[in-house]
Amino acid sequence: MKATARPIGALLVAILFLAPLSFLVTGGLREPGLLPAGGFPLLPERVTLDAYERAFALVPLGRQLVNSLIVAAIAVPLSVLVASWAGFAMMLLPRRHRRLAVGSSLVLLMVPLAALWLPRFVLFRAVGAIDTYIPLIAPALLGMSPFYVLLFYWSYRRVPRDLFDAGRLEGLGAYGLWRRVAAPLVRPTTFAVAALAFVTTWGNFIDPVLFVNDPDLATLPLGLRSLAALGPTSFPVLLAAALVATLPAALAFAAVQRRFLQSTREAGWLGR
Amino acid sequence: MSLAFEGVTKAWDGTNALSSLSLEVGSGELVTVLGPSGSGKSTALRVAAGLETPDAGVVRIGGRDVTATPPSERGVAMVFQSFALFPHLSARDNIAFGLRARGMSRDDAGRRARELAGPLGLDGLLGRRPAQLSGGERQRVALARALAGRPEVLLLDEPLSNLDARAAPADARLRAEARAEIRRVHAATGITALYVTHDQDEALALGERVAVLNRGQLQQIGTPDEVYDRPANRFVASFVGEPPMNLVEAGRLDLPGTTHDGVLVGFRPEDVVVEPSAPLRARLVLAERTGHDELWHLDAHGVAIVARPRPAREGGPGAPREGDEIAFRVDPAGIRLFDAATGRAR
Amino acid sequence: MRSERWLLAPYALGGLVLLAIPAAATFAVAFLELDLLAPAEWAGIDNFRALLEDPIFREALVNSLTFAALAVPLRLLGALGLALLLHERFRGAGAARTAAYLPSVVPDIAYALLWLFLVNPLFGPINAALGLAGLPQPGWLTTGAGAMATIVLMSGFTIGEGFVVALAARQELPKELYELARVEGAGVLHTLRRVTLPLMAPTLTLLAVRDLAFSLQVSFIPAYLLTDGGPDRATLFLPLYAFDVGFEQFRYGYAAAMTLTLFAITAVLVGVQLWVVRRWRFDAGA
Repeated sequence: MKATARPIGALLVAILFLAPLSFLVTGGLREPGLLPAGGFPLLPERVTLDAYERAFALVPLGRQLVNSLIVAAIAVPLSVLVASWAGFAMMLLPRRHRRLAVGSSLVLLMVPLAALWLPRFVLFRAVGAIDTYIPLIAPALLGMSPFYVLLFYWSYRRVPRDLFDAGRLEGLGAYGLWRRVAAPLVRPTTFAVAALAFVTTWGNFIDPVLFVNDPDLATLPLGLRSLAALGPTSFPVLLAAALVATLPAALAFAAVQRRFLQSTREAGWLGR
Repeated sequence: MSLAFEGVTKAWDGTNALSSLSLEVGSGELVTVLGPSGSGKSTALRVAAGLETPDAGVVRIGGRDVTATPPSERGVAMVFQSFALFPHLSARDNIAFGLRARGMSRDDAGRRARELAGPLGLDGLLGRRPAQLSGGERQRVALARALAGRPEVLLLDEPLSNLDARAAPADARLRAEARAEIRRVHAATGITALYVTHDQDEALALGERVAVLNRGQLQQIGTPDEVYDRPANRFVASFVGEPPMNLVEAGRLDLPGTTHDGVLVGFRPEDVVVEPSAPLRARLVLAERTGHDELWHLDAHGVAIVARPRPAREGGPGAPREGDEIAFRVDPAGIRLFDAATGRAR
Repeated sequence: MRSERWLLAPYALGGLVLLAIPAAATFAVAFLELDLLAPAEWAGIDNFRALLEDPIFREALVNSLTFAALAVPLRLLGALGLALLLHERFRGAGAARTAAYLPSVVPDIAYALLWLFLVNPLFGPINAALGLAGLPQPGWLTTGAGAMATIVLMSGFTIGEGFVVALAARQELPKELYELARVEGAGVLHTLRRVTLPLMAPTLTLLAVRDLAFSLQVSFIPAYLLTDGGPDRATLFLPLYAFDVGFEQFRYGYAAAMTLTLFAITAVLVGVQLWVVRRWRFDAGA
C-alpha cells in the first residue's frame, strides 16, 4: 500500500464516524422550537443555549445526571473486579472445569435479554428491590456480561504460565497472584472493559424502565425518554439533552481510551 | 538438605513423562539432569518444586515427605528457562518479590536485593525493567530472585538456553561466564541444586554428578567421568559425547576380544588411532574442522566410523586428503561392549 | 490451589441468580398457560403451536433475521476493515481510532434521538444533503424498507467493541509472518486470505457469535425508541414483539415461548456459523 493511502483512509474514517455526531453537538445550539426545513447549514445562524435551559426546565436532568453517576460509580468498578477475578479464576481451573466454565459462559451469552425481564422483575420484587438502584447495579455481579469475563480470560491466558508458577513458588495464592502478577499485566484489558462497562451502565435504558418507577431515582435515559414524549418535535431541546447524556460517557472514554485503543503490542491485551 | 525422588511417576494424557524415577541429590550437591527434549527432565523439576503433583511416588526434602506440601513451604527456589521475570516490575522488585510476598518490609527486601546484586554484577541495574536488560543480566536477576529467600534447594530449568540469541558469536563466552557464575554461587552458598539441561557440555561441566534421563526413565547417574567413560547403556553411549561413541556390531570390524555374538562394540572417536602400521583400513570420506580439532568421517568397508585422530606420531605421513585410504586401530582401553538385545553395558 | 474458587464465586453466583435461573424459569414458563387473569396451567407445546400460526410472529421472525443478515456482515466487515486500516502507527491513526469508537459510547436513547433528527424528512441533514446532490429524498421512517435501512445503518456506526477486539487481535500477529509473505512475493489479497484472516479467525468467530446474538436481541432498543415497530410492523423485531406480548398484553407464557424460540434460533445460527468458520479455516490453512 502506498505511504499516503493509509492516512487518507484514516481521514475518511474520522469524517464518516464524526459526521453524525457533529449534529449532536450543533443541534442543541439552535433556538428551541420547530426547525426550518432543510436542516443545513451545519451551524445555526444564531448560537444560543436556550435549548439547554428548556431541557433542564422540562425534566430534572441535573438530578438524573447525579443518579446515573451514582449507579455508574458503584456498578462499573464492581463489574470490572468481578469480571477480572472470574476470568483469572477460569484460567487457573483444571482443564475439565475450565472448559465447563468457558462453555457455559458462551451459552449464557446467547440468552435473549427478553427472557430475563420477567423473572428478574419477580426476583427483585420478592426481595423488595423495585424502586431502588439494586436492579441497576445487580448486573455488575456477573461482570455486566459473560463477554467481559471471557475477554479477561483470554488476556490472562496470554500471560506466560511461568510467571504464575514463579509467583506460586513464592507462596502466592490465587488472590495474591491476581493482585501482584496477573492484574498489573492486563491493564489494557482492564481499561477496555471498564470503558465498555461504563457505556453499558450509562446507557442502560430497559432496566430502569422495568424496575424503577420512582421519579426521584430516575436515571438519564429515563429523563430523555420523558423529554421525547413531552416535545417530540423540538429537536434542539432533544439534542441538547442527548448531548448532556452523552458527554459524561464521552469524557470517561476520553480519559481511558489511550490505555487500550492506542497501545500497540502491549503485553496482556488479548489476542487469539 | 537432600532432595530425593522415590519411585515418582507422572503421566500426561496417558503417556508417562516420568516412570518411577528414583534419584537422590545429597545435601549441598549439584546434580545435573541431562536428556533430550521430552525426556521428562523438566517434569522432574516441576514435581520437585511442587508445581506438579506426582501420580505415584514420594518427594523428600531433607528426609521429610513433601509430596503434598505446597511449593512455597518446601524451601525450594526455581530459575525458569524463560526466567519468568515480571515485566511490570524493576529488577529490584523482581528480586524482592518473594520476600515482599512473605511479608518482609520494603526496606529490608530492598536491602537484601542490593546485597545480592553486588556479587552478581547487577549494581546500577536494579532500577531497570526486564525489557531494558540483556539476556545475561536477566539470567542473573532470575538467579538473584531465586536466592533471595535463602532456599535450601535450588532448581534450575535450562537457565542458560535463553541467553542473548542476538549475540551469537559471543554466545559461547557468555555461556561459559554464566556457568562459572552458577558454579561460584553454588560453592559460596553450599546450596543443594538440581540443574536440568539438554546441553551435555553444560551437564558434564557443571554437575558433580550427572543423571541421564530418557523417556521418563533414569538411564544412568554418576560422575561426569563415569557417564562419559562407562555409559550404562546404548542410549547414554549414543547421547553423551560430541560426536557420540561409535557403535558397531561385533564382527563387522576385526577388533581383538569382541567377537562374541549379540554384542555392540562402542569406542569414542578419540580412541581411534591413525598410524601407518595399524591393521585396519578405511577410506576418508570427509574431514571436518571443528574449531580446535578435526573430525574424520571414515568408511571401513561399509562401516561408518567417526574419528578424532590423535596427532600423528613422529615420522608419520602428511595429512591425508579426502578419498585417501588410511590405516587405523582402536585403543583397546577405550572399547566398551553393549548387549545388542537389551542395550545394557556388559 | 483451591483459592481460585473464591475469585470465581461472585460471577458464578451472579450468573446463576441473574442469568441461568431466570432463563431457565422463562423457558419453563414457555410450557405454561400463564397470564394475569387465570392461574397457571400446563400447556405443553400449545404456545409453540400458536406461534406457528401467529402471522405477526412470523413477520417479526422474518424482520429479525433480515436485520441480522444485513447488520452482522456490515458490522463485522466494518470492525475488521477498521482494524486492518488502523492497526499500525501512522499520522492520524490514533485520531481515527478514537473517532471510529466514539459513536459507540453514546447512550442508546440519545443515539436514537440523534438519528430521529438525522433522518427527519423535513429538516434532517441526510435528506438535505441528498437534496443538494440532486438525489431522491426517501421518507426514511415512513416506509418499511426505509425504516429497516435506518436501523441497519445506525447499527453500522456503533461497532467500537468489535473494532477494539479485532484491533488487538490484528496487532498480536507476528511481524515476521508478513515479512515472510513479502519475501515470498505474496500479494496483499493473498496475504489477507491466507495469513491474516485464518490467524484472526478465532477472534472473528467470537465477534460474529456475539454480534449475531446481539443483533437478534438488542435490535430491540432502536426499534422501540425510533419506530415502535412501524411502519406496518416493518421493524417489529422478535424481542419487541415479546415485550409487547409480555408487558403490555401480559401473556407471559406466550412471550416466554417466543424468547425460547429466539434462543433456539440464535443457538442454531451460532452453531452453523462455528461449523462454517471451522471448515473455511481448515480449507484456507491447508
